[in-house]
Amino acid sequence: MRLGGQSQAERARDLASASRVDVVIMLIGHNDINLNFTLMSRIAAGSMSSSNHQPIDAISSNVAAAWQTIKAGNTSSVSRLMVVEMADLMQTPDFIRNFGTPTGSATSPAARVRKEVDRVNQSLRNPGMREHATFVDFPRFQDHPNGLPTLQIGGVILTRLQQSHSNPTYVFLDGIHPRAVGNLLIANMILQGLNSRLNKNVAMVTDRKILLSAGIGDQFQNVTLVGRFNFRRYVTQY
Amino acid sequence: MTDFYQRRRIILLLLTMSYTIFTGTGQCQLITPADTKGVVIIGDSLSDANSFREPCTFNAPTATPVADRNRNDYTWVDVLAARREMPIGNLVAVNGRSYQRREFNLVRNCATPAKSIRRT
Repeated sequence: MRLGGQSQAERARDLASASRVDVVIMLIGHNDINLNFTLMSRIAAGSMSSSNHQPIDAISSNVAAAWQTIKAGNTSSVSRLMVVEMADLMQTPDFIRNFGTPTGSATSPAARVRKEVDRVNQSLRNPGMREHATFVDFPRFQDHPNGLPTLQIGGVILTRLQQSHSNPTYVFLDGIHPRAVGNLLIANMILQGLNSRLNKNVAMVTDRKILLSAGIGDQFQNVTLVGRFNFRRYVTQY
Repeated sequence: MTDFYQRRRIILLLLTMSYTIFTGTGQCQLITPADTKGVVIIGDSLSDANSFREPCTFNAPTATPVADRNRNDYTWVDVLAARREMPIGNLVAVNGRSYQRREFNLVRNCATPAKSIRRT
């Protein structure tokens, strides 16, 4: 029996042993929650118990174990880690369709799910991880009124919580995965974290470049996000 | 930004998530522009290849190393073997045969030429 993530961690460890590695980035998804239908039902219904939390708590312990495995390869070459925390899965088209729009009520399914996401992210920031890691707080970025909820890039108003396979102004390709604009927003969050982790000041992907990458460069009007929005506030280094 | 990534060696671990975030638009847009080198991506939970059923892959016991379970697929190990060094840009670990096509698309659309990836 092996812990989840260990195969991948071992490969990262071997890479670190064989060659210099500047930084390891761990991007934490929420498949272990959202694909566990029993768990999701319990969360939404507010019927979680301490034993029900086991698969949720296992995520952060698995991440910590994976990091220990990577470090075991070559501590001197891999001392820098960045953790991009689990996103708020309720702020996606699929989950709004299934559980309704977040209402602000603490007893709504959306709030209950968010509470579990926060539980994972808080436990990721344990002392062992804090020692080496920079954290990117993605849910708080999603929450910000000038972040994803009312998103404008290059003056183009984007449709955030619906999906489209064909319209590049939609953030989501399907119910849960982003299109180009969404990916590049995540890229900017990661880049901001790297700048902090490596003490650099590499330029972000600009509004114009994001729209160009999405195939709608001709719709650029003026800068409305990158350069005006403070991505750095969502990066924490202890 | 391209230069920044090209001069650094970065390992990106995808944990309890799928590659779709990279492949949805057919481009490597998450952290690297298409011409970026020096980033290695290692995947974990490719659960959209697993029919969306429990148990989820990150918490599920992994009894066999990924490379062994996917002997006939393109794997992260293949990339290493092909390049005989730390891979330059992009991928790869696969966790299910059905993911092969998607993964191949990713390789095809990114910096690493497909011809440099060989089957075991």
